Amino acid sequence: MQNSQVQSAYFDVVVVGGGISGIQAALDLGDQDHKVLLVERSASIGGKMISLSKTFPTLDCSSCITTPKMSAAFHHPNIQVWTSTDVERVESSDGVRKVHLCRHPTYVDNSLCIGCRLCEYACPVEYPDPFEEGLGAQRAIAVPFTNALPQKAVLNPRYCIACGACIKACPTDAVQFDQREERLTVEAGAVVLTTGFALNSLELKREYNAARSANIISPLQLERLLVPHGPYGRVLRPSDGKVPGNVAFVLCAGSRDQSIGVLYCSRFCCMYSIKQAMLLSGALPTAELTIYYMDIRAFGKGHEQFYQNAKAMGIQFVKAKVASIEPVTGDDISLRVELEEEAGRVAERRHDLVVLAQGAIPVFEPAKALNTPAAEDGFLRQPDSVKITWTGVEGVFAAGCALGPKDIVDSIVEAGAAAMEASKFLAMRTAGRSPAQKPDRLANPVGT
Amino acid sequence: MAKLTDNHKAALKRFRDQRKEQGEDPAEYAKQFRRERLAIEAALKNGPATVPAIANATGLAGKQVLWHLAGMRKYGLAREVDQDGDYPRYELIAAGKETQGKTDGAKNGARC
Amino acid sequence: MIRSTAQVESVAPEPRIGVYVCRCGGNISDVIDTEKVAETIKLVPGVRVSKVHSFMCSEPGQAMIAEDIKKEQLNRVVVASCSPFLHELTFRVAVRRGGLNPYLYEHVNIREQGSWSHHGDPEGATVKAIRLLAAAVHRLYHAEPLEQIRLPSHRRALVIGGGIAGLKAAVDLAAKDVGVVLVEREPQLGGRLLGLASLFPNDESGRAQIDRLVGEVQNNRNIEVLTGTVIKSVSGFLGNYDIAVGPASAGGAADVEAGGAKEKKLSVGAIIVATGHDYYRPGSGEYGFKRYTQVVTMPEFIDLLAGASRDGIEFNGQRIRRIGFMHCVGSRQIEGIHQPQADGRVNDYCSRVCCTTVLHQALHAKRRFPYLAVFDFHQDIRTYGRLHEDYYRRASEAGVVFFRFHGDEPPLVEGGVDGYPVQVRLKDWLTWGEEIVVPLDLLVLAVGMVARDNRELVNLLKLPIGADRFFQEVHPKLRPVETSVNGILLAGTAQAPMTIEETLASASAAASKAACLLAHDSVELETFKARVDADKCIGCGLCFPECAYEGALVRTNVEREGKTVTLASVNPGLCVGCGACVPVCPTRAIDLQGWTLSQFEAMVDGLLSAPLPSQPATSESSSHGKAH
Repeated sequence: MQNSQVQSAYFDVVVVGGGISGIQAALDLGDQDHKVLLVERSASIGGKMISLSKTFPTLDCSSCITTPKMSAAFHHPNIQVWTSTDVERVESSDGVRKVHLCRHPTYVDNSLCIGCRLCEYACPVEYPDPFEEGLGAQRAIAVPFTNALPQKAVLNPRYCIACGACIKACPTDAVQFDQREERLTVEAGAVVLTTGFALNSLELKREYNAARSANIISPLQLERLLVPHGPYGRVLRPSDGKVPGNVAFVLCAGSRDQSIGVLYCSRFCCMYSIKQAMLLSGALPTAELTIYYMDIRAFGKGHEQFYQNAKAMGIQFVKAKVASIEPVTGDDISLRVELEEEAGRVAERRHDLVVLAQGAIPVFEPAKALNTPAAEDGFLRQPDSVKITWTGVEGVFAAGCALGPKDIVDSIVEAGAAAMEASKFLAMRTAGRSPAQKPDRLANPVGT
Repeated sequence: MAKLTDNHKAALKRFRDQRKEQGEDPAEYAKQFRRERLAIEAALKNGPATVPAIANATGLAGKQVLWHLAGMRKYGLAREVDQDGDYPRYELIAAGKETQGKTDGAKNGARC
Repeated sequence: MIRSTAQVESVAPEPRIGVYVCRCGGNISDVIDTEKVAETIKLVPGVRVSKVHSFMCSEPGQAMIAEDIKKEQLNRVVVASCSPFLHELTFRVAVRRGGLNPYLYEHVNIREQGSWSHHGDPEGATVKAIRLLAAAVHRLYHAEPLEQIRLPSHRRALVIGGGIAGLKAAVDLAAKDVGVVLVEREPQLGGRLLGLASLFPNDESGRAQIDRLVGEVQNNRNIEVLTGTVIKSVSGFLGNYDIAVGPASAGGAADVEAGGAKEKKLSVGAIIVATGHDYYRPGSGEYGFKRYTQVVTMPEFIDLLAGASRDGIEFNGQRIRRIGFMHCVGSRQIEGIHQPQADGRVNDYCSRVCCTTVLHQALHAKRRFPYLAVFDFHQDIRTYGRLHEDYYRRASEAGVVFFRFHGDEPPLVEGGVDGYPVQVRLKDWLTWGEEIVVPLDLLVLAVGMVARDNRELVNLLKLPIGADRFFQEVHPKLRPVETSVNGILLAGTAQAPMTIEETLASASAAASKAACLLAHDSVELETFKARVDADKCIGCGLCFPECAYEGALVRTNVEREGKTVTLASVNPGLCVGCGACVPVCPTRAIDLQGWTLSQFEAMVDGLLSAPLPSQPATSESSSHGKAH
């Protein structure tokens, strides 16, 4: 939660989702003098991008290029940021959008918390850190991660034993065990949905047996292993802390697959897998790296060259269907593959770490939360071929992975487009109104 | 360091009661966490060790040992010293005040 | 026209500096002796107040600073705490609260670059903190109050290119009450889409989409359309571009007649480049192109299919029954395998749209003429977009036969036998590399997108071009529609190959950026710019070759002792504050506002002359690097 005193219940635009798409949309709208509320479900803005190691195809450090954008949005005079806040429903009627919110308790008063982490140091309980994809440990009360915004502690009631150590440690008496869930409704001229995506379960494909081995990991886990200050400080396999020597990437492990009902391409897996293999070859120069693929879809600007570089670096690309995956002795993993370039010959390949490229699936439920049907793929609809970011609901636009999987650059472009459509919508709606009737400028958010 | 006021104590009690109503008991998890952490610390008292060695000594799964070591590294309680074959070895950091940043830094992770 | 509002007040005769050292609740003070730092820094001349606080960023900490500024009449402030990323802005605001110009503030990082990185060496970290603080204090001796530079701007944009990207950008900006001049070289608006009969993913015709947008453009009082027109000259900078336009072709009277184009001068604040792409033109003999008439390009096939009667596709008097589609023609080329382009480089990029186009067109053809046998020759099928994979699945179900080749062994196109005009010979990697021959009535080359020959425009706008010859964005990840020239934006396939949906998104994003830049009557520029002291400048001109930003340095004639001399001056609209001009000036006439040479020298003085606590100064030498 950003602050307890809500200054205004009306915003020109409510942007739902504080990942890179939402941040970009909010910035574009704020820079055009619209009053924006950016709502984020988790305790910090930054979305998936802030947790990535590097970005393809430039190999920029992801957190280094995300934090300035986060900071710009967070400190923007026209943007208020509410974290730990869920959007439960968006109504669009009579020319107004009503956004129904649920603000979750963080058990910390953000207007008092100064982000010193003394509560975190005092807390006696640790649990699997969601920011580290479960690989690292987090204290029951903690600032979510190093460059989280806001830099405020959040208490996880599932693991808190209510010992009071945090209260004693806090220099500003910010810990408040009496906080409770709060529901409120804000009005908005327009809404931009940038709710992003989730990955389908690692265990979705039973024949891949991810539940049976800690060394069958998700790509986001590998991202954290590749970050300089990740959970282990280096790349180790999770089962026993061994430096891996033979890593496999299985593409389309949750997409383009009728058997699990995800028919579409998740679009960014080819490129991040190539990037991860490249980064691994830098971190583990002697490791064998194999990418099992159906088609390599390196379609973006600079992507094909990136793919060719990876091949030249000695990363193995094997066109194959991975039929099944089995844990074997020594915590290793055996892949049964049909080699497509050898007429489907079946081979057994042994690796000591396997990364499954999970499919990207929607998180927003249009039928439930927007009273509009989802498209066949489950994502929001795009009914207008010229206004492609319009969802079909008056005044409600969308961008990024809420409209289907896409990489960061495509999401950023689309966020700019959604901001433009929302801004146009407001301009036409208020064409008759004088500027004086516009709501007052909001006070600066209480920042760090 | 502040003292707990009556207000604090009452709020903590209400928080605990609410947790109980929802049928959740974080205390059990915390006890288990403490037991494992102490066992790992005990195993490391004899000097640096790899994850499989600690797992052997404590009876914990390697995965769980590594998870604890990640937490101990993060909060300045343990660090990586050297490597035994393909396995890094870890040691305890002498008890002191915990501060963020007392980690052993990135080893083979790419730098930004 | 250029008016800098930067106040250059006289430097206060006597610096009264407040130094504030943050403990950060132990994050800093557990390693660095913050009390000793505060006590020692008092010895540096000019320091009037030196205080420690557990959390300087907290409200009490900030209030203390603001209060001290008033009470102690401080005219400079330093805070030593965490990274400036977190709190530099916080303290600038706090300083302003106290009534000081926010640029009379200096932020010193003693946490990330102090206590955290030197936790094994408390004494060294303490000495380093004192030295950094002394440097900051010395720098502040020379600080001056600064304000952001504000220049008036035109709330009007130039959109170059009247295809779908330019039309969309124009419509968007006009709706925001930004004036638009839409310039199109051809006699009519619409661009490439006019030639596309059926678009994926909704089978709408290109003309239908264009008509919708052209309708909006023509009825818009904010948009002026100039067809048959090209850009003749460009000068100026963000907010203040002066443009000259004229008829597209001097020789072609028809062009002038068609557009009625005239010479014209325009003033705009921003420019959107939406000049589109060309289709790759295969070389003679490339995949049999021009050697066999039955080898055609995709745009030709789209026309052929659209024009086909109910009886079937006729080509060259022959009924077509077997069609092949060759992917990656002019895309994903490999040096040494493919013929280089005119500039000696191959097109090593993927053109993004061709895979889906092939399958969309193949399905379209199969739907109309189910008897057609369709063959697909690809390296990878890249149906990445929304609903694109559907085409792949449906094509397989419809009986399209797929063959896979490797990029370094492209298929050969030969004259056919048994009445077939052509045949494709390839190693098919879906059948263990077996050599296969496929006889065809027609081979369609899925030609990729290439950058237009925009040489003149590139020179006029001074835009960088990528290795792929498309316009280069300023950051490929985070700023995809902006260029390195502030105020010039990219829309659509001028930047890279993309689908129509992606083009529309890119056009709107560019319009959004333009609307942000032109949101007010003036544009705000960063205050850190070069400036020239006219009294010291001798007009030697050494700075000019160092400057990479054309127009940032200006030759100005000045009367001096009865003679006219030419001196350098700075156009703050074009200067980016890189500082490259500063070191070459023999008289130190040129300097970077906010980062002056004397400030740097003072910092070095501060580092070296810092008063140190009684600890041996040598401990500092071990203070870098890891402690173990």
